[in-house]
Amino acid sequence: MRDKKLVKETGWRFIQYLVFFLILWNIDAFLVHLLDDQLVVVQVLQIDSSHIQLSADNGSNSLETLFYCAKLDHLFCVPALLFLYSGLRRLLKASHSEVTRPENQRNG
Amino acid sequence: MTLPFFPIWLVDVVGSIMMTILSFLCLGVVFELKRSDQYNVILTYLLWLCFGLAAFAISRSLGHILKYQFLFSGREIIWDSIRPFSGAINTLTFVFVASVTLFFEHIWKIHQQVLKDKQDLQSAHKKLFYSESESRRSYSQADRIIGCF
Repeated sequence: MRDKKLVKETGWRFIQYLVFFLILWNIDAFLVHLLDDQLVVVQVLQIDSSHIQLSADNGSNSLETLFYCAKLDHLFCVPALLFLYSGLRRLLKASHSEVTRPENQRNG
Repeated sequence: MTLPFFPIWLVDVVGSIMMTILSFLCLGVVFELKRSDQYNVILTYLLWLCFGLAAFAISRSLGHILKYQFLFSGREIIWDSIRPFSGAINTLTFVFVASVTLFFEHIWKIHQQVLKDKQDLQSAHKKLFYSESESRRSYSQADRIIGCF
């Protein structure tokens, strides 16, 4: 996008933010799957309907906290889609103003 | 470490619903954009990207909402059997998004080359047209001069 100088337009800049948030989401999802499914270093136990118990193999509290925060991955992908939607809306607005501009110039 | 489950549940369920709604809103806007400029390659790319993201949002949201339904109703075994399929569909939709991006990178280059060739052809046509009219003018001048003798 930088090569084509698209990021100068606000719509495309917002789409660039989408890509940034998707990269963060991918890293986050990779981390959760790695800790939970592949390395199995964090065990999740549902105590009751409102509490879970996390236990890391090495007993590290920071690893458990990291895992808990990483589970909130929608905090990355929802803003990503919000940026895509805002970007597309701005591109649509820009395309409408481009279509109406020559008419305005003729009338003016 | 014992932690509250509510934040994870809330972010997951609300996030899943929001993702589905937003992906369909994006599709609506991109359809409108495409209608205004049907042959724009970039807009075609954005349309396919939104299709991929909508498919991803639906499969992931369904997966996450179903997960809590099964977990809270004590039917974890059913979720354990669905989980690999749900995950595979999610991964496939993301592979689709990545493939579309890579494919359109090449299409964009080809499109730019075609546009450059079109411009070159137009300028060559202009030059040819100018030289043809110049030679016609010279011939008619030469004819007139010969006619005088």
